[in-house]
Amino acid sequence: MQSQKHKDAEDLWAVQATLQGNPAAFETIVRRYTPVLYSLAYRLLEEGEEAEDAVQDILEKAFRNLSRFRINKRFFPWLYTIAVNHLRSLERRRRRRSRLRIVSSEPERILESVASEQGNPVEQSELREGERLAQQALETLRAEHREVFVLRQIQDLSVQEVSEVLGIPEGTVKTYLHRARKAMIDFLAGSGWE
Amino acid sequence: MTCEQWSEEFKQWLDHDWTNGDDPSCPPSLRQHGESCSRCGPRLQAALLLVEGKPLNRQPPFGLAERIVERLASGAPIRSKAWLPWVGIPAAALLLVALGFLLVLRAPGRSAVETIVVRFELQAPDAREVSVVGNWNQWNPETQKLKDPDGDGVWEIEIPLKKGEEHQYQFLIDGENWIPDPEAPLQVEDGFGGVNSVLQI
Repeated sequence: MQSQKHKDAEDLWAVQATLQGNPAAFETIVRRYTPVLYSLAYRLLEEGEEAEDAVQDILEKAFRNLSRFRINKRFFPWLYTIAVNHLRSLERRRRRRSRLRIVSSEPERILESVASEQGNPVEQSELREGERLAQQALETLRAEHREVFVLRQIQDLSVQEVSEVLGIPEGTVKTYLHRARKAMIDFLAGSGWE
Repeated sequence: MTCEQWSEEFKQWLDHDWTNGDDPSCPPSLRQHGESCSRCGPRLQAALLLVEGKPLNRQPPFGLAERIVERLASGAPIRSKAWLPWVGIPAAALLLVALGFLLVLRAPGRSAVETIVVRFELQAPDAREVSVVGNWNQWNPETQKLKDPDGDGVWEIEIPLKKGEEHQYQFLIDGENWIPDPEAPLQVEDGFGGVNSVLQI
């Protein structure tokens, strides 16, 4: 298994090569980060089927804004910051959509039928009950607590890395983790199950 | 062990600070009851997933990375939704096509101007007044106000728009809140820090 330092060095090589006129070098970044970004998007978006588009948009944003990356920094916190900001923006838009939308049942049916022919990456029926409950528990959390929990507990970033990605103090990361855990215990161990 | 006893022990187990690096192993009695009880089992499974964390990572659909690489290399728009042919046509326009409201307006002595009637509907139950403002009405909020005749919170208006042109628009709620169409797949910057929705018909 590659060490984190080795991965960081490969990232920087790929970024530099891309910036020097070899866009194909960005493939290293895409292949390395598509799985983790997909997982991040899947757990942070309330509509998990949007995760695939979100990953494409995040990587495209990173690609188009690569010249803004400071080469003396680690690449992955920069990419994660873009990702979290993009996912927040999608969630804001989704919440607004529930109140404001052009209503057109006919086209929606068309879109849904075409999409279903292609196979939905998220088949609710195939999710195990435990995973469904775990996702429900995540969805009970406030957005900022969920971000911290997903990055630290599921994506296995260090507290310092979470702090860097989200731009919040490490103490706040720990506080949010604590609150997330308590909220999920209340959900899973609460009295509503009996 | 009864479900009530299990719930109490379950809560005590989860009260360990497992987000702080602790890795509390699940007591065998919890596992034993959880694995044989359809009520408690899913909760135990969910808790185990959350405590361990990593198993909740989800694999992307097959070929996603390859598709992204291909798109970036081609310089094409990155979206690769199955319904790509519909992208660029907001829902309102689609509705019109579906309903077949194609009009051809002819002015005497002038060439035919093809228009399509677009029906805009906006769900805004708290609004007192809603307008649609766009480049076709010079962004004048007074000219095309939506109505909610049945009081169901859905505001509506039908507007004939020229075919073959790009129309930019926003909704204006209560004379002060400018809202782009949240369903429009195409948006452009409006030059004032916001975005306009784009309708191509």
